[in-house]
Amino acid sequence: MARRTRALAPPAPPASMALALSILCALLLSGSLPPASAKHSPNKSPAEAPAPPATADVPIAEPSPSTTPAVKGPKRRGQGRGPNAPAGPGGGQAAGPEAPAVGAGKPERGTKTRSAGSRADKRRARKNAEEPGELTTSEAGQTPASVVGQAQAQSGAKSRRERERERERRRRERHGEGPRESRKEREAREAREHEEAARPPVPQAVAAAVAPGSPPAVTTPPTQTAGSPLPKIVGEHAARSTGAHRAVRVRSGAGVVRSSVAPVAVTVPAALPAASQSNAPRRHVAAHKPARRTGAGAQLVKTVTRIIGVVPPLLWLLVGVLGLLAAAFAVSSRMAARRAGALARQRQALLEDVGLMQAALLPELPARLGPVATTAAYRPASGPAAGGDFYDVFGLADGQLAVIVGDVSGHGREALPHTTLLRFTLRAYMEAGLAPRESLRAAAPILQRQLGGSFATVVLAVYNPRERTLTYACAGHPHPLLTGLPADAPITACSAPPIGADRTTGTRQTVVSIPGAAVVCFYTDGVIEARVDEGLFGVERLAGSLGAISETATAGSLLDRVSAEAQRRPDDMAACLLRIEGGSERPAIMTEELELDHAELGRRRVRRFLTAAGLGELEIEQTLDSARRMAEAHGSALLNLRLGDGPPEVSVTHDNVAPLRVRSIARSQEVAL
Amino acid sequence: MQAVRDNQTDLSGTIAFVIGQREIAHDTSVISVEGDLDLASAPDLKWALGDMQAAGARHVVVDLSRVTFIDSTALGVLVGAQRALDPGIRLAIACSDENVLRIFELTGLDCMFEIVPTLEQALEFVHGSTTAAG
Repeated sequence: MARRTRALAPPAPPASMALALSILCALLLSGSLPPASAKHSPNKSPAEAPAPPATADVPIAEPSPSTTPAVKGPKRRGQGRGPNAPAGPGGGQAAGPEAPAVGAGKPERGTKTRSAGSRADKRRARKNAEEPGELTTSEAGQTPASVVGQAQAQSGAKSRRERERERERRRRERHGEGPRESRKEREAREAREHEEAARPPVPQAVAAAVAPGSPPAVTTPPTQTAGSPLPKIVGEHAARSTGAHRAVRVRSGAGVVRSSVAPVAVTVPAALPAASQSNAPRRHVAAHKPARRTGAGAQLVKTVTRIIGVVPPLLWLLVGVLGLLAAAFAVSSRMAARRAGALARQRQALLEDVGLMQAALLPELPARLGPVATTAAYRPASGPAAGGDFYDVFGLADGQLAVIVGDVSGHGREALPHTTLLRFTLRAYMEAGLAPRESLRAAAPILQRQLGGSFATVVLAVYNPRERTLTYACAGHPHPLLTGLPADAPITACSAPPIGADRTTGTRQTVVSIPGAAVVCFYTDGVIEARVDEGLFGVERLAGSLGAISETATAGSLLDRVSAEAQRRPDDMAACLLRIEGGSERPAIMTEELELDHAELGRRRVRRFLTAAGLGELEIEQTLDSARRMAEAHGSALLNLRLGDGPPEVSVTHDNVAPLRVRSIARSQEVAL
Repeated sequence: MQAVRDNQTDLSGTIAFVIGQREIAHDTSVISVEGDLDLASAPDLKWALGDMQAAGARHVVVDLSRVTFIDSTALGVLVGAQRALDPGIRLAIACSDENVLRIFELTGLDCMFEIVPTLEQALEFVHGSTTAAG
């Protein structure tokens, strides 16, 4: 059963729209971020390179690309100062050589001031403070006294400060950076850094965590300025550590401290990843460090952090709401799809039940009845039209064998009870000894009343093994197929109408002799109306299929063959095969019996019938004249044709079936006692 | 005044079934069918016939000239319509397609309907000009 309905319905339009909106928001926001690192890195000041550690101008890499000024926006400043060297009060920009050594976003810090110690220190301190603590500046919110702030206050004339700020602002504008962080924020950050820097365990962690990378770290700082080819990461670590320690230095106010902690600084880089990760305020550093190690990953993390940093919470709320909406719609549509799938499965199960019931109502047939091997098969329609076909094969007196195959119109549950009604009623008449045509004629009026508006086509047949003759009567039903005989095509004109069509039926009967071995195939119209590429399966194709398997043909194998070749089977298929053996070579004789009343005699189809039988024009006229006279005298005329060996013989007699009049049933008559 | 009742297209995009209904003259109606008349399209024919009966048409012609296939479901619809005709109402089928005629013949229903080759002949019949000759 395959999961026909497994394919989920696509998310409801609102859900997809919500999803699209969320993605659009995120893209717009990330797209608005300028690529800060690219601008910054090439602009390293060559003057930085030779700067001795004492000047604290060691080129120090930006903590991480993702913490470039643009992302930090409102809080950061000074990052841009590095690359924007021209405006820097201190000197030239760091040149390219440093950039590769220290990686993207190389510290503007390094390019800063050389000369004015206090101013440079101030700025450096600010930058140092900014790097690690930017993300958390807003969280800090406290306003402890800031060493840097004090330093600033002590720095000098207000005018000089203002000038610096002016330059800074200009630099920012040029690089699209956000406004400077406020003094309070800066102070808070620096206080935090002060705490961290004072923490002793770091070196111990360092000892444990010193990676093979540490030796390079040791040697890197001095060689960095020379543009060493060492990996950027190392340089970055060194820079960061140096920066951290520079902050420490600033706070302590002594240049000596720096040298004393230099060895520690050297080893710290390797451990910084571990240490930073454990320090909350430095978590962005930690995030950056691993990212640096892989280019693509670094880029991704950079972008993500940028996005996270710059998107206002309201927008995040909006994105979250849209995402929730999308999720809700997706869930509901998936549930609807599942429900639809369950319903479809239920429907299919019900249809299969109808087929099963129909099959259950069909009899088991004996494999042989005398010299005849019998098989029958039923295949319900593939769809809502299932139900309606029926068959039966049973023995009669004198070793004769009877066959009933029929098709009730209408489908499904309404057709099932009609199939059993027809089967048992007609069987009763045949077992009572009536010939096929007689059984039909007698039963049709009764059955019509019980069928309501439905009608049924049926073929009744009797095989006489002694005579080797097959006698059959069709009511709106296809003639049986015969193989192994030089069979004449059956005459299709003047076929009797179905039961329930409000017309007299059982008006025609055919007798075929079967001298030698043969297969007789009774079938329903669902077989020949199965759809194939060229249209309908058709009688010719069925005859071909039967001929192809005639040696071992069974009803089941024949229907399987038809099923395999057909694309669609909108109607039930039923088949019954008789395999007749033995016999001898004798000519096959066919006789036709046709009952005609006055109205029928006026129809054109009688002429077609006589023409198909092989009668000439003159004979046809004579026959019709004779039949009309008979009908006037007796109500109807019976044409008898004998075909086969020699010219056709026709005789006209009167109707030989005693009509069974159906008495009208009186409504609840009280029986008087 | 042609009212196209229904239009079914198969997967290839070509029209598979068209049924139309029109009034030729007072109380004479013609139902024209084109395409396959099978399980799927038979209900449309049934409704058209029911509508015509309800509208009080006394002369009904079912034009099957352009029908390519007809199955037992559609035959059942025609049989039902024929049986349900009030006395005095005449119904004729116009059809000249070999395959469709053969189906009527094989099922023996050609004795039940007046089937003539052309629409004109069908109109003549329902107006009583000719007697049954099928």
